Amino acid sequence: MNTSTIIYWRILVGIGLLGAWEIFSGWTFDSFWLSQPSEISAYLWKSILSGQLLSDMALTFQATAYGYVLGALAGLFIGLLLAQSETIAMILRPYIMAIYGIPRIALAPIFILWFGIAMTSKIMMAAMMTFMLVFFNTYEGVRAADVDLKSVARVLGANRWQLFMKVTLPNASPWIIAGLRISIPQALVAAVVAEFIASIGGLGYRLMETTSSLNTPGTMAGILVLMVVVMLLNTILDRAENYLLRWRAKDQS
Amino acid sequence: MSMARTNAGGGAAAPDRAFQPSIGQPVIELKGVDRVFHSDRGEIVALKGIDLTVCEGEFVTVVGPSGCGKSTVLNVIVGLLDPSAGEKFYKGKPSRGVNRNIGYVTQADNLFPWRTVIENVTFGLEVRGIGNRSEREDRGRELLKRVGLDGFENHYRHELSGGMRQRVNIVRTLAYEPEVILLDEPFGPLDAQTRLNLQDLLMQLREERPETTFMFITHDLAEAITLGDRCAVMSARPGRIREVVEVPLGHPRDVYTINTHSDFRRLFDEVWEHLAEEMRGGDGG
Repeated sequence: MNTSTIIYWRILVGIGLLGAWEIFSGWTFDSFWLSQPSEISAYLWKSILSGQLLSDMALTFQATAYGYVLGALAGLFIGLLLAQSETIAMILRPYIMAIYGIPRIALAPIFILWFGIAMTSKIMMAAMMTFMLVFFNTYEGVRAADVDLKSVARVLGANRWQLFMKVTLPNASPWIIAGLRISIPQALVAAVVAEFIASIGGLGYRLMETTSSLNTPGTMAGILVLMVVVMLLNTILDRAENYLLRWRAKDQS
Repeated sequence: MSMARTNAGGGAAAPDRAFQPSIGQPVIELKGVDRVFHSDRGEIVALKGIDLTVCEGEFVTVVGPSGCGKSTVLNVIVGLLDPSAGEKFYKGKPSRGVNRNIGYVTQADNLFPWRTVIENVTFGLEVRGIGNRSEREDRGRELLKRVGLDGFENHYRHELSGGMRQRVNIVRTLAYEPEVILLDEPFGPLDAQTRLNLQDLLMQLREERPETTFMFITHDLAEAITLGDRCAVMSARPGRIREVVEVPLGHPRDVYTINTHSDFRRLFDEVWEHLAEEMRGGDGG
């Protein structure tokens, strides 16, 4: 099948699913639980016009972006640092594994306690989530560096700094980029979860608020917005990753 | 392959090339070198009492039964491994650690997969800070052309065949003109014709850079005799130098026809007898 036929069918499936939802909701089951596409789009339109959607998105994205940058920088720096020394790595290994074992979402309540209900706690949640993923990927990536390639680079005349910049880092880059990539949607989730628990605005706050006032169209609209945002992010990140790692074989040969 | 040369197909001693290697002072000296590897299952003595001297401008080939430690010898010489016992000299001085004057073409291509062909080839010049970017690339391009890889400058490793990768690997070492070049079965993955072309390139390089010293491991006896001024035969493990056979086939050598030289067969048989004995002996008799 060629691409345009596939796209045509994709759109058809989408319309079919939405149509089925619209028809069956309120007929075979109560539309109170699942709402309906027409109600959801009406709600969405309304919140776009009132500016509420935009201000919620702005709050959540701001927290995500600050947290991500903070967490990514810290993760990169500490990951690179710890991977330098075999001894330090050996000593810290069980502790690092233990910290990695903490279900990260479980930290949200205590982060609210530490950092308050305003923006800071959301930034810190996003930062913590990003830090974990970037740190581990960086650390593992550097430690998995190819010994033979390092030897060859030394023979070719590379000094320690050149070895690090021109061999260790690019060799670890698939891991590092993977960490930077998977942590973006995760940072968003972390910020939203923190907003669930206690906050004064944002997409997570709106989800909580609409659900507790039994406003299912509002809840569904919130989920829809998050879904679209994460999908868009993933598409952009896929492209970026493919470009940065273009030196790798497409199919492993 | 486009390897221009003046007298391809000429006789074993072509009249328009007056090259004679000038063998100088010792460059590499190994005296009683042992190398032991420790593993969970005990010790493995890879090398036992290696004595070897290679002089400036010389081309020494190394053959030996598989697993006899040929690659270990090169790893010790370049300094990636230290000898467990014995002495190692470079130009008369004791040497330790990686020796940046020695180039090493490894058996596996070990190309940097994140670098293009031209970026791989210029790596040595780049880290040594020789020339500017365009000068380095001109130099790389010229050598790539000589191994038939013009047009592949911007390819990545995964886009090349095994033979092409190995040619890039060789050029990467040739590019920065080290004083000594060690080659570990460099032509292994190449087809017969490419192999001949590259042997020819090595012979041309000797003429262009007569002070460059070569050590070349191979499992192909004909190749060892074609290229070498001397051929070192190693014993089965633990490896030592069993015999060094002089190869007085003269210069310049035409790799395409040298095997018709009247002494070629005799030298081949001589090296083969040493090797056969080692292979029959098995555990180092």
